[in-house]
Amino acid sequence: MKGRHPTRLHGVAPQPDLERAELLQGTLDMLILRTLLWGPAHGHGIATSIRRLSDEVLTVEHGSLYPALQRLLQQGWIVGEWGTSSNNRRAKFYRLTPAGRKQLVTESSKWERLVQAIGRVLHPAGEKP
Amino acid sequence: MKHSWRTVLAKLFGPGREFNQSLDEELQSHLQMEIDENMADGMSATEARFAALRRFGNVSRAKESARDTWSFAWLDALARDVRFAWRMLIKSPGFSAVAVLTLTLGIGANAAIFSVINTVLFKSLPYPGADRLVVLNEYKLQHGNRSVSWLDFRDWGRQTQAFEDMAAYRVADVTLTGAHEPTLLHAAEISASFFKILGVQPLIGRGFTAADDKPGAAPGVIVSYPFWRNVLKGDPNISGKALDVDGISYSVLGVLPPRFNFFGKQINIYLPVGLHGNDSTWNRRGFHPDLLVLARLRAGMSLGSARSEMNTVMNRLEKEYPHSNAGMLASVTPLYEYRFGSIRPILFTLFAAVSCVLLIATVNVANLLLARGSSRVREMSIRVALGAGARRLVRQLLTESIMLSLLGAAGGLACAFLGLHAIMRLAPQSMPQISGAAIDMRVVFFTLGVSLLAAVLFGTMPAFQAAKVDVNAAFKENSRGSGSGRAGKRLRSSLLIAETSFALVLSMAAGLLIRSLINASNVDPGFRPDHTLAMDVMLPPTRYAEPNRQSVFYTQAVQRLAAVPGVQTAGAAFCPPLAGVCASNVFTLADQPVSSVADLATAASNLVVPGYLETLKVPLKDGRFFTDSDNQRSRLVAIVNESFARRWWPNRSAVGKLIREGGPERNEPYREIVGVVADVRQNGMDGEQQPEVFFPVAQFPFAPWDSLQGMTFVARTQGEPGAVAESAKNAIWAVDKDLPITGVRPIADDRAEALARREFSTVLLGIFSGLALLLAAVGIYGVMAYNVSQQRHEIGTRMALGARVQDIRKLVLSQATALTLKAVVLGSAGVWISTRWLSGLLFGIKASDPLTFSAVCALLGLVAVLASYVPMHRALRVDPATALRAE
Repeated sequence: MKGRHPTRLHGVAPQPDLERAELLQGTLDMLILRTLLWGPAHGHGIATSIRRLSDEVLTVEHGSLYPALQRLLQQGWIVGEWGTSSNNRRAKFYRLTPAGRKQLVTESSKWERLVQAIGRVLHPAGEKP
Repeated sequence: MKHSWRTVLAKLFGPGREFNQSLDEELQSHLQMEIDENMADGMSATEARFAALRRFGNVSRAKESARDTWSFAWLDALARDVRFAWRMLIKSPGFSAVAVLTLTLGIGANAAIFSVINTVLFKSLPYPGADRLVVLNEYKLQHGNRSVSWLDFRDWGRQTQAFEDMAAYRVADVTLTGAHEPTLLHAAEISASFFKILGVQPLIGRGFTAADDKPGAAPGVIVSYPFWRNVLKGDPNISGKALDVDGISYSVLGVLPPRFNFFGKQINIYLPVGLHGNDSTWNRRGFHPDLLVLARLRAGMSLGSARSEMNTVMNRLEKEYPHSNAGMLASVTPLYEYRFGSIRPILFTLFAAVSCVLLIATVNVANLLLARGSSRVREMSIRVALGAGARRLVRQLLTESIMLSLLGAAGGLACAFLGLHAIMRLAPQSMPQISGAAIDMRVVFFTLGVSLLAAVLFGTMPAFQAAKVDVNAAFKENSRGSGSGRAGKRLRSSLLIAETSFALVLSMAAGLLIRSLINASNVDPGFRPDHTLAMDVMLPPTRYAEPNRQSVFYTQAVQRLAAVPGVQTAGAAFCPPLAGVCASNVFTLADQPVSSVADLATAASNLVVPGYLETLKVPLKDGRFFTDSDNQRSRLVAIVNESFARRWWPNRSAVGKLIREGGPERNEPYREIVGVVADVRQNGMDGEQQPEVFFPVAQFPFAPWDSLQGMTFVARTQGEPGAVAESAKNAIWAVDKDLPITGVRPIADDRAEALARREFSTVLLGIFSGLALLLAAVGIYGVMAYNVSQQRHEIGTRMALGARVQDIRKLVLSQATALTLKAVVLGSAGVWISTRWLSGLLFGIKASDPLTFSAVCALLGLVAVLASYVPMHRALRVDPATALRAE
């Protein structure tokens, strides 16, 4: 494999630190929604997209991906339907719903605010980065 | 997270099979895509597959995690715990059955008895402000309660401040005549304010007013609800209609609400007591017509100040009217105590008994759980080693304990209903209050709470112990339940000793009561109750106003009765044996004058028709019985019982002595004592024995007692008393066909009834102590069995080293004996403490009776030995080789 150590996105059940899990869960959900903004995709496609777009930094464990997809389904932000993939495999394709689109906007802006806030703490105005 | 309702439902019931298949397919296809990609990257098929699988991670875990989002995690965990707990309980059926049974018995018995106690003690006074109600009575120190005289009652009303209101009352029996069949009715004569004091409003019509309560008022009555429904046919326009009672026409003024039951028995009809206001006898201050006074304390007045005010008033009356009121005092008793005073000791004893049983049951369950817990420490340790958190373990044990408690509670509830039913059937007639008892849910919850607490506390101990235990030590082959340790063993032993001593106390109490019952049954009633028929006849005062008429009737009736075929002898008396209805009177002895009124002789006065004493086969000790020649024209005579004779003429014969009724203020003629008979029990089989004086009815015309309205007829029969019942009644009716005859019974029934109350409490207590012993036995068995199982190693070693069967037996038995001895010591202290309560209930035996105590200790010892028998047997079957080799 490559030299870099891919960051694994953990995100499911037996985590003692609930808060941390929730933060990461929320992040994963957001990433999935963003990925689907470009159009419907199946599980494998979503994981691959995230990996590629993040330059191999983020690897979604399948143990986290599928629960996340179920959660998004429960919230009604995505819907799934069976279809055929590009190489003629039967796969379940997920796509965004209008509610999901709205959720994505909310989540992304929250994330942006968070990142900026952290940035201000790390690099207060006036100091050299 | 907000979910649609569809999602919530789906979460509740969990994903279905379709979901699982779909997910499977999806994951498979994902995996396949990875493999395809890998192959496209240039790997071989096998390599591609391995790489993909490695990448993918644990497929089943992914599936599980996905599935888990479709459930409420805690619900799932709970369901799992419950299923597991159920399996564990099923796996040790002996333990579970015993624990559940223990709880069932403890909770059930408790709930049943508490409900009875609750109903009888607390619910039976449904009057507003019932704690302010009191009953006033007059009494003289040596002569007991005398009832209240009419004039004194009037003066009380005028001279006291402590009471808001006062009402006189008494019960009487009247006959319903006129348009209806002659029927005997239980009636009460009351002052107008009676219902007002009790806060009772009539359902229909109105109550009495002061105007109704005066002599010469238009006679009105108030009827009870059942009477209105059954006899008056529920006539809604009953107000103002006429009702004939004892030949007088009354107007029905009102109907009481249902379930009004102030008096112990059902009263059908209420008349104003004030109608007697002009009776010459009632206007004699010394005449006490069986009245009692109900009063309500004024707001802010305490019982103590009411009592002292009454003392002042009575002192004043004593000074003003020395002849009638000398030595006369008044008692003020709270209504509650007045009604239930006699039942309280029984109920409190039962209360104590039940608490004991509950404690024993709880201790038993605790012990069982502890013992079982210790044997599960190893299991717990393994689970800790495998990664279970302490919280998880505790949660699971908790589930088990709670399940156990709930099962026990369900059983207990069923047991409670059955138990209550049984108690109500067992209860004697003289405790009518019990008939309304219902299960009080508060009791059930309380008991359940206690059991739950015990179960939770002791059930989860193994988890706490396991969390602390050294995992390695627990795994070692020759460790022996190290989780228990010495402290655990001590705890279990102490609990067991405690419960056994409770059982001892209860058994002692039961034993004493049983012996009291036997003593009471063996008391010589003073007469022969076999083959004797009894019946009560009342004379309506309107037709029998002259006393002569009364005595003529009674004499004729007895003659007719004696002539009935199958009847050997017959007689009649004013107060029959055991009923306790004899009135007390003072007597002046001609040859023993006294200096003060308080020293006069008192005795029960009984009027009889000659033949009575012979019919009952009362032994004659001196002199002779009455004969027909003792009538109005002949010498005045009397017969006394042995108590009277021995008291006043201890070393001489009483025959020939002269006595007369009344004290110095009266002037009755003297009577000659012609006979002395054995004591006839008047106040139940276990009551105090009274001196008694008998008069022939033909010689009795003098002070016309209102209450001489009835007599009890007795007839000794050749065969079964019941067989001549019809002919006996006809004999009475031949003299007067309009007389109601009640209580036709073999007089042996009276004897049974006299013992009934004692029997009731004895049986109940016996059941409880039996229960306690059973539970103690179970507890002992459990602990002994556990001890033996823990000591297998030791026993095996001993046997290998040459111990014989007897030695092993001695080992086990000595443990059981040590336990019993400690329990006996502790129990003795308990017995000593409970002596105070019990003495009120005992008869003919002391609470510290050594014979009973030894017997109970022996019984307990026997129980302990039996309970250890099975474990001991198991100990003997230990194969030394196996025991030594493995754990």
